[in-house]
Amino acid sequence: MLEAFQRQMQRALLAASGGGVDLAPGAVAEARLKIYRANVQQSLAEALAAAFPVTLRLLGLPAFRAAALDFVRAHPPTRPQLAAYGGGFPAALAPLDTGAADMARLEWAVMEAYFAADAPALTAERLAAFPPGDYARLRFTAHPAARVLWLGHDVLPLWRQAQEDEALPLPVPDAVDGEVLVLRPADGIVCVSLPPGAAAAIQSLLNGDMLTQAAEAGLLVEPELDLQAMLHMLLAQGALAGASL
Amino acid sequence: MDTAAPVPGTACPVALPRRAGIGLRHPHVPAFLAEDRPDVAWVEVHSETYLVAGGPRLSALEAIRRDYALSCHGVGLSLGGAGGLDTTHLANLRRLYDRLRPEQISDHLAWTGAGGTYLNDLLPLPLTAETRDVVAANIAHAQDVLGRRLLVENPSLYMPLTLPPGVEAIPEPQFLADLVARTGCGLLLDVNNVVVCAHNLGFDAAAYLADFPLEAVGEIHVAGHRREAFAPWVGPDAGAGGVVLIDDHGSRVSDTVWDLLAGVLARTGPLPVLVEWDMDVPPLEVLLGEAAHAQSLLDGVAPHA
Repeated sequence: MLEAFQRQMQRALLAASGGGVDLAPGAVAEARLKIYRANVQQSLAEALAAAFPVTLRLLGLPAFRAAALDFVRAHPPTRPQLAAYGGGFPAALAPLDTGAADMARLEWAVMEAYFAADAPALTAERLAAFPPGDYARLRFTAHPAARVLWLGHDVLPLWRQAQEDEALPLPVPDAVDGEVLVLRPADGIVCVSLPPGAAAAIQSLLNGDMLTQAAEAGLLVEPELDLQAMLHMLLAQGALAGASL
Repeated sequence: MDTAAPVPGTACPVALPRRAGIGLRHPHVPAFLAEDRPDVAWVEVHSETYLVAGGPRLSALEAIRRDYALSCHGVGLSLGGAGGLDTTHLANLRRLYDRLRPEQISDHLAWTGAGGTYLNDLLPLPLTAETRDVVAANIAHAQDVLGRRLLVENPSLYMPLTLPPGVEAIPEPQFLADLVARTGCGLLLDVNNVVVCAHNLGFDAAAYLADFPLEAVGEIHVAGHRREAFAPWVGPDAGAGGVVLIDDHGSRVSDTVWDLLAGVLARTGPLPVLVEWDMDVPPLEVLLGEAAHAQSLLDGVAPHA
């Protein structure tokens, strides 16, 4: 009886409306079931609002709420870890608003970076211990927080504005390709807008490819890519956790 | 703390200070990290909020934990889940508890989802012999993997369940006493939940508490609730349920709850008492004021032998 009851009640809680429960017959129980349904759906929609605050501002509350409730009903969490809930939300927004979906992708990367594992950053001193002649064959370990995003809209400037001013109305993001590196040096989040080619090179490095392979991947996109400046930036921002030959 | 799972039938040791504590919420974290730390005996967090790989949230709690006794209160074990416990979740909790080494861990007499879904709410259970077998097995499994004694909290309920003909309902205090006897778990008595359930399901809170197995209680919760004359946010026809008490932990503790707490403490002597406040979290001073009131009630009772 218990298993059947729980499956039936879960179905009712994730429905938009209706859905009876055999152990809860009658008008009072039916009305009370709606309290649980509201608790479930609204608390999960609020979890998405907390994870995607700038996306909410771009879409406006009514549109965000409708999209969030649709997502909650179709894709409820699979584990009691709300910090990890919402990874599929950006893709769910894409058919509605591609600009908002890109903002959501950026916000999700920020969430992931914020809760990623801790690791000491690779320092320039430790890197200098390798013989210069071997640099081309170096492989790096990515800091767990570091991730590269390829976005179809220029959302990073809007995201920065939104952090500084919680009331500022946000314009529609420009449909311009942009690449962003999300990092967590020390305890704060840093988002770096990448020059052309750098995203391909950095992703290759974060994947554990040799430096020479990463350089090739970047130069293929942008022959003028300044690899030394890129490596300096990665070290300064704590994007790398280790190096090995 | 790191002892093996408890032996069924043994009395519940009280691991937390027998004083007032507060729920630690994000807006108050900076105050707890400051030099002039808040004067409170212990804090409680929701375990699942800290199930993250790393980062500032977890490191802040580790720093605070060095200065305060800690209770980790779970909301996601789904002890009433007919399909058993989520072993990955259990392993994640074990890692967290080994890292934080809390004085006490707890969760609820509830289920939170079925078939690999988490619904983010503490859902009602039919209190039958079948459910008792399921919950007892789940508690034993949890205590075994976590290596710690679990306190199980009485739930807040909104919806009356009607059992099929021939299936007997076990009164909740008896149900909880049976779980203690079978698994060696302790109990977390939430006095506010008793008041909320008594109103919503129509029973007498004092009579419930008279039957409650207080000897197994290792921690007490108090919190605020709100009254919904009808619930427009769940649809226009929800009013058929009449006035409902919603356990939102979003206001001061009611006088009814304080009075019942005083009555319980008179029977048990001092126990760890937590003030929970989760919605519309007030300035820390307000929360500490509520804890001070709980402490004044604790100071008014003599320790029992």
